[in-house]
Parts: sequence; structure tokens; C-alpha cells
Amino acid sequence: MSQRQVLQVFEQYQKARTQFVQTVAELATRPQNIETLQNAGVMSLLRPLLLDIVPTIQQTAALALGRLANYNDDLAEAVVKGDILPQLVYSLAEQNRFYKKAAAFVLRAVAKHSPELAQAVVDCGALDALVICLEEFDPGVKESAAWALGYIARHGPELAQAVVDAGAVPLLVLCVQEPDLSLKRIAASALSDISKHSPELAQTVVDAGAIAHLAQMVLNPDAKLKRQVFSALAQISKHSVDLAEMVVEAEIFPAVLTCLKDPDEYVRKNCATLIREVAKHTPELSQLIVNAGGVAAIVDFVGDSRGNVRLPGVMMLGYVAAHSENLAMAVIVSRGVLTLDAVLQTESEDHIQAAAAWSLGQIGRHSPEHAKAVAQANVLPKLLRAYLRPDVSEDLQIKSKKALKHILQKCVHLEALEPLLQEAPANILKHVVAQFSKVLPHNPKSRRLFVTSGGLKKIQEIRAEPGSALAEYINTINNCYPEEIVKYYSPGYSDSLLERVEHYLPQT
Amino acid sequence: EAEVHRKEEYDAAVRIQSWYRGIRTRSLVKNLNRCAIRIQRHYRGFMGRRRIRAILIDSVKRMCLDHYNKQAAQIQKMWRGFYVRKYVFDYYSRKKYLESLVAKNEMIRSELAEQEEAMRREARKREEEETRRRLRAWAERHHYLVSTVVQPSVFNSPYRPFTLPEETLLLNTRPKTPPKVASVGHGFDPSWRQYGQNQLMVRLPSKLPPLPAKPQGPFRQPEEVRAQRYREFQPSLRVATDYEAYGHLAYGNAHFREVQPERHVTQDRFRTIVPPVPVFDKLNAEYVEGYVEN
Repeated sequence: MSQRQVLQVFEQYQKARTQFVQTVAELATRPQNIETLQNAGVMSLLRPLLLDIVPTIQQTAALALGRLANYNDDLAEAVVKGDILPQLVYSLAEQNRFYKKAAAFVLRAVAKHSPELAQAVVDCGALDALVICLEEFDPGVKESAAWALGYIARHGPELAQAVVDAGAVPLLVLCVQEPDLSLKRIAASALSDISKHSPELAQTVVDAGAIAHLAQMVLNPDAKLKRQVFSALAQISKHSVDLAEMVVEAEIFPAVLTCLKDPDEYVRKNCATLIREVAKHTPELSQLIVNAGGVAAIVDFVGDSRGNVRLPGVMMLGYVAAHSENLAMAVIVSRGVLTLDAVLQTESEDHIQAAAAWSLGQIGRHSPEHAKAVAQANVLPKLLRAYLRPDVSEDLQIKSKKALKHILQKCVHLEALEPLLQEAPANILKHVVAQFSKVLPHNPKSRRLFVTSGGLKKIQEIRAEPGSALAEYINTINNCYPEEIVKYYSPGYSDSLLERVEHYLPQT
Repeated sequence: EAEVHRKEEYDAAVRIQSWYRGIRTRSLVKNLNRCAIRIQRHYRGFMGRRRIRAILIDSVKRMCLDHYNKQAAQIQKMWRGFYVRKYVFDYYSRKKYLESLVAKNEMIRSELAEQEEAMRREARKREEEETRRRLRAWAERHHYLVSTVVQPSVFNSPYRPFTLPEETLLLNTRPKTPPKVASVGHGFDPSWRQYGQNQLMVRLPSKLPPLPAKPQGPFRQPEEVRAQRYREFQPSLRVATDYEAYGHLAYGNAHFREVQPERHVTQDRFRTIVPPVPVFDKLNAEYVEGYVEN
């Protein structure tokens, strides 16, 4: 055959390969095709194409592999088992930037599913290659590499430590400073994934000078970037007091409070998470936030949001109130109790209700003033109901019981306690009656109110074992009243009177 | 009988004597008792008074101490109350703090509401800007859909009683022609020699330099200007003279400054003989000598 005909064969083959790879890549974008592709054995076909001479075919093959691995973890496992990763890692060091982007995409798609797959990616020596990619000029390559590193570090502390040991953190901090917006986002999210596991990792991130740059981006108009920045700052500050203080020293308050009103709800959620993590460590930090008006902003945030988004806000109020009674009073004064009450009522998810119950308990447990403020918002019956409902989770039950106990032990506001006399089970009733027995001996007006509101009657109806604390309290209360009244209200009194009538012989 | 009476008298005398002795001893004893009692009485009084005095002193001391204790307790009470109220828990300052906190909260709430409003406005503005931009871009590219007199367009259908707003949009926006591929032409270079050669076929530059803001005119005829502009270079003699060459000779160092020692008459230097100036003799002798020698 002539030379041209020979070359034509090769050209046809190349065209066929290109078309195959491009079509597969396109088909892999649609989820319904992927099953079919998998059954047709696309992995084994794509693998040799990764070593193709033509660069376009290599890149498209890598892109197709990435899309397939992205879809579910079986395919990702198939990628790992097919020994494709070492080849990718090797060529990551050498090829042009499009190939690097595609290869980093494959690594990221594999690593995102589970810790074992991420470990497999790390075992192939991908980390060093990815860190070298982070030093490239092209922002797209840096973005893919940072994304892959973030997904690897997400799964566990050992993997995050491996990422840090590869020297990724200073390069990620440099990436955060780049002008490219998507690169900033990805780098911030990678830093957040690294620092969330342990204080040492967070300290490494802080030592690379991340806080200053993250703090600068707090006022950026892009919503997705703000999500990641707040998430990163929150993960850093959650581990210890020093880290939280360093985050606060970057002067993010009160600019952060503005972001609590951002239109994007995840920005608001991450912002509230950051404030919560800062407030939970020491009273001084909480005081700082309160003085900056943070409690009002959080209360508004909790009032405006719905669902899981407001959970960090609710917890923040609880943490602030837990530190000291001064701060608890500050929360009360900022209308926190009303908002928490609304949360307790309207939310359907158990864990949010549990958080609200816990926060209310922390607010009300400091002194009678606080307990009065909480009780006046008509919270106690709701807490009781939450405790008694049969289908609630154990967490909610425990938290509402503890909250009730704490509040009741300090509550001397008797009008709020009376509804509880009816419905409460024995262990709660003990505390309610104890509070009555503390107040009634000293206050004649309340004694009168107690009788007229039917409280004395209910007390008589309670059956208590003699010698128990409850019986003692009941005795104390009964001793405050003259005997006839106690007898009048005791159950069965009318029966005994009728019996006396029966046995009475008229004196004629 | 005296014997009988002697016994009787004796007995009587003894009786009287014993009675008298009895009286005497009794009175002696009584006296002694009385003295002893007296002594004892005085002594007991003395001891008692001494004891009372001690008790009195003691109770006075105790009263004084009680008084001082009470006063000290009073001072301590007042001090403790003051200290607690000032440093540990100042009710009024806490009340003031809570009031100021409420005020601050209100301020923060209103500020945040303002900022939220501003953000929403900005977001809305950006959205509107975006939609306007998109519509304009669409209209610029789809100008061919505008309706003509003969052929009404899709947006101006005769079967519809009103025209759609797209029609007005298309009419109002200036159509953007697809970008022309800029042909690589020469920029207007005034010193380019080639302008002199084919003046009629030379292409006028596409971009003339910008006109100054001052009033222009009257303008000369373009042909005149062009003739003047493209006139041949007619240098003057001075200009035409090549200053780097002296005709056929190379001017400068090589010819005029050259030295040909083989054509010298002598190898000595020429001397300039001048009658010696008497003033110089008074001055620097070296000057004269050097002068002569040179």
C-alpha cells in the first residue's frame, strides 16, 4: 500500500479514538447513562487512552474518568482498583495544564466518596504532585489541586495531617490571596476542611497566617466565598481559647454582624456558627460579643430563619447565658427568651427543640429573677410537654428535664408554677412542690392566691410516700393553713361529711 | 442542921456558881462567837467586795469590748456593703449597663436593618442591570427580527391586536454588527518615503490625529496641501554639504590633525624667543626657566 493509505489508517484510528473519548465524556455528564457505560466496561477502555500519544485524547479521557468517578463510589473504587491513579499522579508532574486540571479532577472525584478511597489516593503519592500543582501559575490548575486536597483532608485527622505534612498549607494561604474568585473559594474551603479536625491542625493553619487573609475577605460581596470564609474561621476558633482570641483580634466584629443579614442563608448559618464557636469558650469573649450588640443580631437571626439554619444561633444564646448571670440577664433583656420560646413551639425537628430547651435552662438557672423572666414567657408548660411526649428522642427528653429542673429550683413565681401542678410527673412535681413550700410559709398573700386558684386542692390529691421529700414538702404546705381548710380540700372530705350526716341522730 | 443546910447551901451555891459560870462561859463564848462572827463577817464582806470588784471590772471590760466589737462590726458591715456594692455587684451600674445594652441592641438592629436594606437594593439593582444587559445584548444581535413596512415581524403580527414589547426594544436599540476582523494596515507614518511615489493611489489613513479644540479654518485645498506635503526635498547648500567629509578628503582627525614626523625639519621643538621680562626675574625663577626651556 502507498504511504498515504497507511497514514490514512492511522488518521482514521485517531479520529475514532477522539470521537469515542469525547462522546464518553459528554455522556458521563448525564447520570442515567452512567449505569450503561459502567456495564459496557468503559473503565477498561478508558485506561489505555490515558497513555495515548495525542494530548487531547489524554485530557478528554481523564475528564471522562473524573466524571464517572464523581458519580458514585463503586466507579471510584473501580478507578482505584484499575491502577489508574499511579499513572495519573506520574503524569501530573509532567503534562500541560489542561491535563493537570483533568487529572486533579479525577483525584478529587475519587477522594470525595469515603476515607478509604482518600487513603488510597494518598498512598499513590498524590499529595506531593498536588502540592506541586499548587505552585503553578494557572489559576484553574491551582483550583483543581486545592479542591482535591480539600476533599482528601475532609475525611479524617490522619488524612488532614498527611495533607499538612506535604506542605500544602502555606500554598493554600497564597491561593487565598489570589484575585481569582473561584480559587479563593476553593482554597478557603480546603483550609476549613483541614482545620476542623484538631487543634494542632488549626494551629498550623493559623501559623501560616491564614486568619488575616480570611478576615479581609469577610466583606467580599460574593456569597459562596463568604460561606467558606466563615466556615474556615469557625473551624479554626472552635478548638481552643487562644485560637478564638486570635480570630477575634483580627477585628472581625462588628463587621461579622452585618453578614448575619446576608440574603444567602448558608452565609448566615456559617456566620452564626462562627459567633457561637467564639462565644462558647470564656465569659470574656461572650462579653465582647454582647457589648458589640451580637446578642441582638443573633436573636433577630434566630427569629428570621427557619429550620436547621438557626440551630447555631440557638446554641450561641445558650452558651452565652451559661457563663454568668450577667450575660444571662443580657440575653433576657435582648428578647432572647421570647425567640427561644417561638423556636421551641414552631420547630418540628427534635435536635433544634433540644437545643432551645437547653438554652432556656441555661438562661433560667442563675437566679429567681432569671427564672421569673423565663417562666413569665410561658415556657414551662411547653418544656413539660416536650418532656412527656411519647415519641420524642432521648436527647430532647433529657435536655428538657434538666432545663425544667434548673429553672424550677430557682423559680419563685408561683403563678407560673401552678399549671405544672396538674400535669407534672412525680420527679418534676417534687421540685414544684418544693418551691411552693419555700414561698408559702412567708407570704400570706400568696397563700390566699394558692387556695383560691385551687392549688391546695391539687396538693391534697397528690399521693406521696411518707418519709419522702415530697411528703415533707406537702406537710410544710399543709402546716401553713388551718386544719379545717386542709381537711376541707382533702379528697373524700365530702364523703366523710355525708357519712357523719348518716350516723347523726337528730336530737329530738 | 447546918450540915444539912451546908449541903443544901453548898448545892445551892454550886448551882448558883455553876449557873453563874455557865452564864460567864456562855457569855464568853457568845462574845467570842460574836467576835469571830464579826471578824468573819468583815472578812467575808471584804472578800465578797473584792470578788465583786473583780467581777465588776471584768464585766466593765467585757462591756467595753462588746461596745468596741459592735462598733468594729458596724464599720466592717458598712465597709463590706460598700465594697460589694461597688466592686463585686453594683446594682445601679448593672441596671445602667442593661439599659445601655438595650439601647445598643436597638442601634445595632436598626443599623443591620439598614445594611440589609442596602444589600437587598444593591442585589435588586444588579439583577435589574443584568436583565437589562441581557435584553440589550439580545436586541443588538436580533435586529433582523424588526418588522418592515412590507413584512410585519413575529412581534408585530397582524393577527394580534397589539405589538409585543420586543418590537419596541428592537427598534430602540442600535444593532451591533459582528466585529470586523481588523486588517493589518500601516499606521499613518508621516516620514514614510513611499508617500512620495504614487500619490494618487496612496491610501488615506483610517485614523487621523484628533483635532485640537480651537476653531479651525479657513482650510486650504487638499490638493495644495498634498502638493506641499509631498514636495521634493530641496536642501540648501549648507544642508547638502556633508559635514563628515571635506569633499574627497576625510575631515577631522585623520587629515587635519595628523602629524608626519618624517617631514619635520628638525626633531627639536621650536622655541619662541622673547626678550626676558624683568618683572619675571623678581618672581618665580622657575617660571623664567621653564619658559625659556620650552
